[in-house]
Amino acid sequence: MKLLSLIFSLLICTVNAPAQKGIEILPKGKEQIYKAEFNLTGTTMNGFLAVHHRRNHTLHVSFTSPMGNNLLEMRWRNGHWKKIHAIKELGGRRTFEMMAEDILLLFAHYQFDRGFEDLGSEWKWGKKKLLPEFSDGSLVSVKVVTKRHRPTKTVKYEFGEKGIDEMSINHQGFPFSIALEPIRKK
Amino acid sequence: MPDLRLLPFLLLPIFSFSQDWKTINADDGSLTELKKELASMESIKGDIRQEKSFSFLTEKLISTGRFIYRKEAQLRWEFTDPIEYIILINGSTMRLKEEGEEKKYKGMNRILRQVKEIILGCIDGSIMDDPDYRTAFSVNGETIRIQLQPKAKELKEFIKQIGVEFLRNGAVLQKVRLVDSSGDETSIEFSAIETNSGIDEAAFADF
Repeated sequence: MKLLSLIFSLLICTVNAPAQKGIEILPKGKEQIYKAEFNLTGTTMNGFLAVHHRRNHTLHVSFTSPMGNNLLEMRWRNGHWKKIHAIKELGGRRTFEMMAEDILLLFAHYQFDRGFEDLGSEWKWGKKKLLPEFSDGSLVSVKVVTKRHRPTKTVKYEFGEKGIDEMSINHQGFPFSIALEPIRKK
Repeated sequence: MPDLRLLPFLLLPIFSFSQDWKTINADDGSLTELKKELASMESIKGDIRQEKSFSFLTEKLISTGRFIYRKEAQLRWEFTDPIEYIILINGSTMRLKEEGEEKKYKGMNRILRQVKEIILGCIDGSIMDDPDYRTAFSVNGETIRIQLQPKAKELKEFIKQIGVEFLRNGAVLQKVRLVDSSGDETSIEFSAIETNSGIDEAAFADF
């Protein structure tokens, strides 16, 4: 009986295992709208990024202009992005793939991908090496190292009294970046 | 003595009826009157409240600001919250300021040009005669509604449907509803509207 109870408790712990401490950027089941600035190979676009992290770890994302028109909408589930809508300027394969990967990196959503491995002080995501840095138990930056000829990316998180104030991803030596600031209800 | 508790139920059919939109033809007298009033409008200014709904979000994005328009094509469209965003149109020139910084909209020309055409067309009502759209007209009490669907593929990629509502009395712009090609809605409500009042030229000259 004791053994059964132990197995049952272990099962419960496994099922309800929380996201790794300190790397919960947008908790499961939550939604948030961010002020967003996309710099895509020299073209800067400001607007809003609406994000929903569903309970099954699907990440639904929409980038909209300040005038309200949707520029991009996509959904990540089971390791794949589905492009729902994209204007011509954002729908090109290379731009879309870079944006999609950067969004997963910004929201640390790689931790829900099968290709993610926690090796302690460094993480592995597919062929990428992720070097996290923590401060007071919170993730403050992640350096993303890929193949030698590819530029390094850096994800940064700035914290304020109410949580993350700003988060950004920059490509070293390449004009591609995304910066997000959560819009907080007044 | 009739039972007053039944009054709301007795009035319900009347209110329901008053909410119905009645389709009108393009040559209907109320539309002719609206076009006449819009043609005599030299300038218009007021407050804007934009509400953007996302199909996958419960939260809505609310933006507020102000707009100033003067014939033929001078417009200052300004959001102050949650971000500072100003579109300045002066004839054929268009400038954009975001979060205190003037932006070069290289690569976004096509989108901004379409946004400009839609805003100007809704404010002065010229969109209802635009051959790029299929139009349908309806009235509901004191309101005239124009519903537009783009014909061209390039426009369809950008917008699925536009609805513009004017008050019949004075041709006052009330509401613009935009449905994205993805199905999400943006609703812009206008308030504190003033027409043909003094407009400072500087409003269109610089940010």
